[in-house]
Amino acid sequence: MLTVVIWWVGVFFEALILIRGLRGRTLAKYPFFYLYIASLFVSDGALYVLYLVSPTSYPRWNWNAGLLNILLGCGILLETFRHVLLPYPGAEKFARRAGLVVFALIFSFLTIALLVAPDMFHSRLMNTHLERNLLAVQAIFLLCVVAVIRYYGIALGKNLRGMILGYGLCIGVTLMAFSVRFYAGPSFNRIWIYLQPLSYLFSLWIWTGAMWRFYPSPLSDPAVPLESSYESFVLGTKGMMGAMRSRLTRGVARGARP
Amino acid sequence: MIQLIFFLAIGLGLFVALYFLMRPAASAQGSADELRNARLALNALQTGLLSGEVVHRIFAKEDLEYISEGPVEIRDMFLAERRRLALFWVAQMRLQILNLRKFHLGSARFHAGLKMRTEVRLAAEFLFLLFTCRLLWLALYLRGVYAAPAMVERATATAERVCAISETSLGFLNRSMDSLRNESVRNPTLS
Repeated sequence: MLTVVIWWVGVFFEALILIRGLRGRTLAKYPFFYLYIASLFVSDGALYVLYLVSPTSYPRWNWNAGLLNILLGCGILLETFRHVLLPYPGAEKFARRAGLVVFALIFSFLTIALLVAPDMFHSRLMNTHLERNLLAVQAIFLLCVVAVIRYYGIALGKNLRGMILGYGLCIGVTLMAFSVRFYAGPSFNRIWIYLQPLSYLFSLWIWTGAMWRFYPSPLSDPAVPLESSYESFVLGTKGMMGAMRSRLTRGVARGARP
Repeated sequence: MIQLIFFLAIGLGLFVALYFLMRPAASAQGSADELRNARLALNALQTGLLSGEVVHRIFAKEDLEYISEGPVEIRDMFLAERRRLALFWVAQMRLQILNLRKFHLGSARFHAGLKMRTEVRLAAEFLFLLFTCRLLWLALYLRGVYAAPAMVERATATAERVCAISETSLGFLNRSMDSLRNESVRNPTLS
């Protein structure tokens, strides 16, 4: 009973986010994020009907919808690139390179899995494996993006901050719960059936608050006139670092002697 | 079990990253003011903290010899003061390294020609430098300023050479400041 209540509360939040997106005009600003939410809304509603009408076919469709939503979840990462990293070509390049590697991993993994064992895609064990691995790849990618944002001191607006936090918490909790469930077996199911939906509800709650209206990402001043070449700029930094290092390391080496 | 640890580690790593993302951070602005501050900080490093005279005075053994002729209490007080001074000097060095890193990141993120490998290497070097600072701080804290006389000799001997290298390496900042000055003349709101 409680799981059904959680289910409907989730659908309510999804609808609320979509309505606020339309009214607050954030939908046009973050189309990929709203596409993800719309997909969750449609799949949750349709799956509930399917659960009542044809319970036997529910697990298969549930898994298909889950896979689609995991892939559409990449939209949040796309929004991060578009709104946060694009004004900073250097940081964007760094995150893009890291992202490309991870995307290549995702699709290679899917392609190989489809080619090698197409039937296994419908086995329960394989489904769990695949879902968990896809979540892990997304988590690693999100971790890279967050690290780049933090390392380069890029400021985030409330919309993007909420988007990343909600998605990060959702995939983090699901990934960890998946892994523990896989290891602990059916005994973990009692916790699993509440933990995963509740963490998802928490993410929806974060998104509702963060996406209530449009908050643009704060932009830094454009770069002051610096050296046109990145190489000479790096050389400058390296030169200064080298000077400090030689000073300090020799000091430590000598200081450590009795 | 290994798989479980691996996936749990990814999840935990993500939570840690999100925690740091939510914490308010001093963003590397890369603005005109930041550039000016970075320049001032590096000037302080070049003319003050790294100058041979300052280093020599902090670690001067003659001072200890002179003080040692007097009562032991005064000698102990002197040693404590000198250690505090040396520790402050290392802390300032560390602060200036952090300033340099802030300046570098604030500017590098705008460079379309940024190289991932170079940035990763620089990040590692900055970490190493900051670690060295901590190590030096620890050595001074545990052993005191005069526990390692060779360190003092080396410090004073290399100080001038270090300043010369710094002068060359700071050329890129000087040019930036010149451009900034010209920009301020054209647009007074910058200053």
